[in-house]
Amino acid sequence: MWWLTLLVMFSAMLAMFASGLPLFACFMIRNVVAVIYFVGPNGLGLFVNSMLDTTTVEAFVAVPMFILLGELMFRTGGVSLLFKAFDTLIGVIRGRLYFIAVVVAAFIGAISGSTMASVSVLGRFVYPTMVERGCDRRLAVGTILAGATLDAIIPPSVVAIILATLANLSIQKFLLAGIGPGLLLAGCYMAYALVRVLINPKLDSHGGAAVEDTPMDARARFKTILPIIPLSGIIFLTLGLVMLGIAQPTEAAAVGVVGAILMSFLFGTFSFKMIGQTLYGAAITTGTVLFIIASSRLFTQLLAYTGATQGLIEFASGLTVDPWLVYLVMMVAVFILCMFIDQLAVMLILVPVYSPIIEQLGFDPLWFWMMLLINLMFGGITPPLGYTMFVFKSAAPDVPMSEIYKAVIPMILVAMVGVVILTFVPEIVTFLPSLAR
Amino acid sequence: ETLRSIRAFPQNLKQVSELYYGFQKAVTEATGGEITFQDNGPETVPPFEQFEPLTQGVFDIMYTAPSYHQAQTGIGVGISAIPETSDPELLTSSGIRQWLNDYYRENFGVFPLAIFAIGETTFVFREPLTGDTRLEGRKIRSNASYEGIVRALGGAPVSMGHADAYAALQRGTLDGVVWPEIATAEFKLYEVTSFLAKPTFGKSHNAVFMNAAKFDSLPKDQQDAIMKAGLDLEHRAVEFFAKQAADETRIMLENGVQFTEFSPEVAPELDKLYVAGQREIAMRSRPDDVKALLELSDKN
Amino acid sequence: MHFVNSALRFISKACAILAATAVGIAAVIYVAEVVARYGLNNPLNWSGDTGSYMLCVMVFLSLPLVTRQRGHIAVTMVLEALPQPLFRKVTRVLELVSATVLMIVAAFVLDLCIRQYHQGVLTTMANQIPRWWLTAVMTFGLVLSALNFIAPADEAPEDTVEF
Ligand code: NA
Ligand code: NA
Repeated sequence: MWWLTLLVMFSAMLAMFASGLPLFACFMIRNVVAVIYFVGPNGLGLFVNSMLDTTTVEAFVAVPMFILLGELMFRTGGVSLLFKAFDTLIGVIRGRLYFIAVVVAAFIGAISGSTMASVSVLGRFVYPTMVERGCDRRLAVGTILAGATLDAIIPPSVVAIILATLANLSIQKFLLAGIGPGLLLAGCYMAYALVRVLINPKLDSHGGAAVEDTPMDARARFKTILPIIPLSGIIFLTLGLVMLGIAQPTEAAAVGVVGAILMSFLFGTFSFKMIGQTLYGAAITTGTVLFIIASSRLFTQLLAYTGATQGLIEFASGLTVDPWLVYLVMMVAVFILCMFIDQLAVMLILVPVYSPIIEQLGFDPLWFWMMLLINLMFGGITPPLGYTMFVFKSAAPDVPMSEIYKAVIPMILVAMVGVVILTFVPEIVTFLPSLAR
Repeated sequence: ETLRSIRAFPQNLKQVSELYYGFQKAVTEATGGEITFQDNGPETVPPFEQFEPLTQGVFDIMYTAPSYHQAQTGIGVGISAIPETSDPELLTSSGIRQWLNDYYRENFGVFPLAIFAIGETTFVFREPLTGDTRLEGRKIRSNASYEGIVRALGGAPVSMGHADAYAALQRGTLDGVVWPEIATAEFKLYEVTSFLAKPTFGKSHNAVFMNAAKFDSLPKDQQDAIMKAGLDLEHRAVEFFAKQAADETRIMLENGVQFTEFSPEVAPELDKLYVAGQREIAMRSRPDDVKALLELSDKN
Repeated sequence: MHFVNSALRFISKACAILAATAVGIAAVIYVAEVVARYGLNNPLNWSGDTGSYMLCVMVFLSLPLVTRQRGHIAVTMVLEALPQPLFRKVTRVLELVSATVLMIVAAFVLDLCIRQYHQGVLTTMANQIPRWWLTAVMTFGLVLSALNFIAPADEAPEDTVEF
């Protein structure tokens, strides 16, 4: 009766989520009730130990380290300068502001570990300029939101670290696996913008004028491009250490933090107050996210205890349908759930169930979980519930929610094209990790 | 009656499928099917966390390495620091079996049904031993139990899991590993190393523990059947692991690995260093209890 | 009552500062590990364990302030569709439910903490510390959070949760 157990648990979870109860409390209630029901009150120690285990998993230390790194780079590097820098770098072509938006979004993605930070920066600094410069509002919002979702796919990525830990993957390899898909999706977004602008030139009414109205001399141009150099340096330092296996991702992030602090001296933005605030922010975010994970984690063990894991394995091995159909169903489930539930919650309820199935179906775990991660990130921009959209709305309050909803739909369809490509060319995901030492 | 069983090792290991499941089968047969087992593995509770739920009666029986509960009592490691635990007869005649029984029952409400050696430990290197055959700064994968011996031999211990060790050997960030003799080929070490060190040293142990309250609640004939299956397991284990060690070494050699030897001056030190290291770790947790066990063993 | 609330706010903030310090310590230790391993060819072997302990401190000592500022992630779509007076009532009920859940879990943790203290249980890492130190931090963070759910919410700062 493992499937009945799962079904009841699953429905109860959805009902609790819908009530608005904090996620951690939903998970705690589920686990305490399940322990008492299946194991008995003596088993409550299992729950406490699983919470303690989760909050002392060394791999999770990468979460605060990457948040710290991203925050420091944001605060010291002057990310608003990035837009100007790329504006100077990218020549006069049709739809260039859309391109710049995607490139800046991808670059910020390589700096920061969280979509939320990225979308709020893009909404505050890049979006107003785009509209001012004659971009179509809907297409601008679409490219920015889609671009922001790249953040969790391109390393560093907090969600990727969490997913890799939950699914028992090498964090090093999973982070590297995100580079290919991130670049591919960025390409898809740019191609879409180009096609739209070519069909309807009005979407870029200024025809690609630069932000600066007066032409710059070489010296001024160089000065504008300058901020990219130290930021890229730190990105390559961190990723390089991970790629060469010289340092664990956590250690690499810590080294990157030192680099970011040195950079703040260079930019003259260093202050102890700034360091204090970033540490504080990293602690608060880590606490919020890891507490939810800690509250939910025992469930995987309970599934094993009740025989549900074994049941799932037997179910998957007994399936006579095409594994690709199962894959499709699993991905559609993620997509639909993400329309209504928080992405973290979706991840936490699905990973324990999906793990035994995909092992049985023989999919490459690195590839499968990367596809799931990408799908989860679209969850942030699928109406009606999507934090990425909400954060954008608060950063650009004059855009009505209905307009945001309309803006994201074509972008999701474009992203689907990217997903189809990744499904048929899995090497885009697996090539870089296979090179890692 | 169904006993809830937890094991620290994955199902695919031979010591589980042949030895432990053999024990379960023997109990079920001897009790005419009265006692059966509900089997759980490390995916239900992580290996180092299994002792506590056993004491709480969440599980009734546990197949483990006693060193896995060193955090609860150093006796778990102390078992590998004394010779009596490697010989079923000596274990009984020395009085250590009785002492361990009483100790675990009184302090934790559990007791060992079987304790047995699983074999010795070996160094596996990328490069052969040279010079006076010490480790001379080599980075060696170890864990808490082996840190002492690696340092004493002049090496740099690096603590990491088994799975990471393979990758680290491959990329050359490790020069070697300390490894159980019975699992060298199983982890395909021959793909990433070339030298198996001689001699091997220091015994490690496995054990089957049972929750005492559960045991006491069973009828006498079932208790006897369980105890007998435990003793049989100890005897079967001696042969099983001897064969296992020989098989693994043979497969390593067949795959091109060669022996490399510690010098006659260093070789006898290995066992002493290992035992000293085990004693040091054992003393970290409930040291008075550990002292009592070691004194009892020294008297023999 | 006002005094109790102020005290609670003060302690919660102090805890969050400790949590932030833990992040800083972890960062410094990891850099030291890389330097020791590649610069001095002598790995520390305790950076990972210390990082793990710091993580536990981060999570459970930042929790009270997260709670105080109502920064917990929840799916509030249905809730926000309710009319204002009902919204406030339901929110209050949810806060009290959360407080109760935290208190119950805190009791389980405390129970284990006391047992670990009496049995002298250590952590399972190579660099061992008494395990009750960690479960005590957990208990403290959980209880303080529960109290903060009962207390009125503070204004959330500009930068809330970014994930
Ligand atoms: Na990123
Ligand atoms: Na959504």
